[in-house]
Amino acid sequence: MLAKNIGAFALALIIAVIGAEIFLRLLVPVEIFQATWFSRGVHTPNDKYGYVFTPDYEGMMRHADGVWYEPITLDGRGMRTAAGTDNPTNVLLLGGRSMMFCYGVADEDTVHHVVERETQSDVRVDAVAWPGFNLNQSFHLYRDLVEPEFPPDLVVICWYLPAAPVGWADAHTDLTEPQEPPDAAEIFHFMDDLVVSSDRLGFVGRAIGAPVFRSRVLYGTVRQAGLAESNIDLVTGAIRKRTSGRQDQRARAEEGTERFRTTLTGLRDYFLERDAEVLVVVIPNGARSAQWYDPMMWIVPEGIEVWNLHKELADSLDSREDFLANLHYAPSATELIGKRLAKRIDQMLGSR
Amino acid sequence: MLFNSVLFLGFFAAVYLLYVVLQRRLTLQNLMLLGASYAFYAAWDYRFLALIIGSTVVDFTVARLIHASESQRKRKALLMVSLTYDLGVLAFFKYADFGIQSFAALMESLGFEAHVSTLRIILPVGISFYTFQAISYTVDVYRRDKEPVKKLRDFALYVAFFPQLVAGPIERATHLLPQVERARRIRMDDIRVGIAWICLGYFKKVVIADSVAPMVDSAFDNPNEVTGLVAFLALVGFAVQIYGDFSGYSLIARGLARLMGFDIMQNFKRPYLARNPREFWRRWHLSLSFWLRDYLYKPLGGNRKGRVRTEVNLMITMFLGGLWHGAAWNFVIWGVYHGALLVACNLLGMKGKPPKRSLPIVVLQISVTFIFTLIGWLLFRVSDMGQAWDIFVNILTNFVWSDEAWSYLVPTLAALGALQAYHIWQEAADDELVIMRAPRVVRWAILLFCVLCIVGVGFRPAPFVYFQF
Repeated sequence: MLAKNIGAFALALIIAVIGAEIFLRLLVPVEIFQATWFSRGVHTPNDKYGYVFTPDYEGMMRHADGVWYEPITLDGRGMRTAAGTDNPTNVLLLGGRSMMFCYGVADEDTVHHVVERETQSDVRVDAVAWPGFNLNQSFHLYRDLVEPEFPPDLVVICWYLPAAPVGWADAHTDLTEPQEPPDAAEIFHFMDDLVVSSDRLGFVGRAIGAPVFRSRVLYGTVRQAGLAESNIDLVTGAIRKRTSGRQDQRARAEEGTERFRTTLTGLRDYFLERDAEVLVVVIPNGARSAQWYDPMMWIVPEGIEVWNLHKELADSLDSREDFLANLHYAPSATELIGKRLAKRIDQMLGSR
Repeated sequence: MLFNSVLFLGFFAAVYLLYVVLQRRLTLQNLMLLGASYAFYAAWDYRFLALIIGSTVVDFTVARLIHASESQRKRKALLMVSLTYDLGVLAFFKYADFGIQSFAALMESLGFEAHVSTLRIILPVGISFYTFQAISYTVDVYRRDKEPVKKLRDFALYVAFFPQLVAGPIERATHLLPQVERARRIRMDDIRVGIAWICLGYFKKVVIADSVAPMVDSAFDNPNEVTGLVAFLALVGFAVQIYGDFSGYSLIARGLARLMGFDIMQNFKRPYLARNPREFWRRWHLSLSFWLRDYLYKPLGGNRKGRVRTEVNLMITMFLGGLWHGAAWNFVIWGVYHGALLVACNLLGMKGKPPKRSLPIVVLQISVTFIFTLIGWLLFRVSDMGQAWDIFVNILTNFVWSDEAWSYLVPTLAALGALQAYHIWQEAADDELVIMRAPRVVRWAILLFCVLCIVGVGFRPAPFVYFQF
């Protein structure tokens, strides 16, 4: 009887796995299931950065949270097209990750296009910001892909901190040495032409490796197992044990702070040496409260003025209406941010 | 606290453990369930617990007074007290802002300046469901269909029973209260059926409804940027979404209750296999349909006062049924639209169960009914009638193929196909529990399939559509 039951269960399991695999492939598009955020082919492997955005790419942005089929066109550098024709004044928006890449909105609604449209000055505006790329990487992208054709007259350094209080994000940068490419096994995996997240795979998923990404059932299962694993680690305190105590965390935070200060100072000096004006802006995020940013201001090095646009717009931007796809800017937000930036840029250019 | 959250699974596991430990102690078991139900509701907003407790105390007291009174006049007056309280609270929290806005719009359309501001009232989750449940008890006692319950705690549990507290099914006192009052036994069959329903319910909600929701939202949020074909597929997707969402919740609720030995009424009976609009309402949201029939349509006179009055009563019932869904004109129009369809069915002599026909005719009838239902869902889903008209015109005039259509067609067909295949199997066997009678391998394979799909897509923090009602 037991043998029969085991046999029946095994047969049922095989049928269920095959059925679920087929059904999930039909029901949930791969971009949504793997949370790749883009249609296929948007990423190309790269030795320096791990991956880059594919030049001349034409595809879609797709995310379960409000971005289902938004077309995107990348230029020959793999970036969103610069705004404006060749003009005597070049304005560069540097950094800001997927927020300033303006994930989820049409090309003409990106912040740099709004800036170009709204400014009274005769400018050409370019944005060097790729999803997942911090200030350090953005700077190197600028050096590699933009600088020869686009010597800026004004540089807006976009400092983005995610809402999480422990998210130091752009703080972990160091301008003096190129950052090593991300560890693929830990952060992402290339599945054909798709970069898929390794996040929450857990030790089972990581042990299985590449095949796990091919199967919806397998990937979904290990993803849940990974989630359970991290929750258990949180409850049992295993995460705290794995890092070598509070002392180590504090040391890392101090190191990160120092690196960030070096980065910001280095960026400012780099562009000042090239006769460009520099503006450092804390760009808004979807957190309702501005309180996350105020405590972070102490890490700004002396002598550098930072414009806290997040705080300024905290009451004007509604996290439910002005943001989409995991709190990225909706067109209403890019419009508002672009207008504020344009006004400030006009003031700076006017005083030259 | 959403059913589709890890927090709820932990909550239910703890409640169930306590429930089993208290198996032979009914009083403690009911008190524990009541506490858990209040905690479940308080997790959303503890302040609105006062409304549930208020309804509970008022209806419990009034029902006892009604029962004790022999004077018909006094009984009626007491009933009015209960109805005024319940419907007054519901009207204030659900319809006050809508009334103010509609009044202002009316004044402005008449050329007057209307300087009004809304009260910005938060709609307490589940208020439409538990209010109707409480009303049915008082009315049943008034009609002498039900003896008043002896203990307040039992009645409080009847009103607040957490599996069906926030989105139904709207239970009847005659059905649920006796189960609250007597000792319950958990049989092996309850556990098997309960688990099966929970798996199927989560599958409908988490896998089906939540997966098609993004594309539906996207098309409805940008109606001018999609072709008519895509708009149509999004509309079909919404039909799938709202059914999967609501029937999924109901099935999870029934499954959770069944695990504890409770029997909660069936709320959906394969609605998209209906062969005419009349049959649709015998398959969709049964607990509301029956409630409206027994506590509104029949007291209005039902079909006992002539043909014209019957149709008028039907329209009034469906009008209020639409308004029950939400304080907005599109819900009212949706209700009136379905009322008109029911009147048309009456005029065409479509009464009772549709007669047996050949398969092609049945398929045609189901398809036509589904199209009429889709028009209703269009009215239900839009934010204003202008948008409904634009989408309708777009579907009729711009029904062309585009690359984008693939990403709507495949998921929609997969979701609808999976649901309908299962329903056809149930329909053919005329058995809701057909899965439990299937061979062991088939039963296990289907349930494992559901579990693997649920695990595959994972829980997302998507609230149930009907919570807003």
